Amino acid sequence: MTSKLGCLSVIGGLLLSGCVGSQQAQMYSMKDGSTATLVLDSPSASAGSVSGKLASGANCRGSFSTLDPANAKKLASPEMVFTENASASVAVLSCDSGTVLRCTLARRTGEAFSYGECRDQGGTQYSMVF
Amino acid sequence: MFGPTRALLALVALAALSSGCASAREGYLYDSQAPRKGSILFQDARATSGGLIAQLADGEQCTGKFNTVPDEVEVDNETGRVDREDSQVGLAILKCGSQHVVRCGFQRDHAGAGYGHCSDTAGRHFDLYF
Repeated sequence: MTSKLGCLSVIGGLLLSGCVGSQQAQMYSMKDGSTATLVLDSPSASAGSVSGKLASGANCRGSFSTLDPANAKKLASPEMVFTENASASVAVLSCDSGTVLRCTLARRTGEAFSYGECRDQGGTQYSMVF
Repeated sequence: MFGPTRALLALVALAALSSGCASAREGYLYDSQAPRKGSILFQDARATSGGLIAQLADGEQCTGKFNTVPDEVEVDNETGRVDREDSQVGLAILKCGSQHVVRCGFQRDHAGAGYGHCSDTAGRHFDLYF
């Protein structure tokens, strides 16, 4: 009984610390306010897979990886601020509907994501806070 | 009406709030096109992330959340770990009326005071001071 409880505590701790599991955010379209979802697997890792669902119901899949914050700055809108003391990531998702999302994300180094934004090929921006 | 555990939790929460563990910070959203302002409340301005309540200049009520990453930091020379975040940058998203979303990028000092710039789904812009 005691060992089972110990195992459960370790698993619970890992899940809470973001070492395993996933991180989800609601993305808001800055064009019409509609909502979509974005799910990042292994959110504290330097790279991983990402999935999403647009307001239209289209499913999206892709991956994310780390990049230099200075380069992330060039890809993002003025409201998305990156710093040298934080970690920046880029994600690309391809959706059933033909939409391609290019996302930039910010987080504390080694931790889960804090905020981000995506942009589709039509120029529509989607913002998210985790 | 309440059990002893609930009453104790309520007392602890009240004590934490009154001792400054959770420190709310009020600010203003200035409409960039007209001489009017709304208000915004960071429910815990010392936390790295948290909730927001706002009222735009036209009376529209909004709720949302913010999250941050470090900007200027103090690092322990021996361990290389971040001892203190002197300033942070962040993103806030406010959900207002139907399909109306306000997004703000901001920077702030360690006490929670800062400023930023916001844009919304209607194409309006705001200056944020808090």
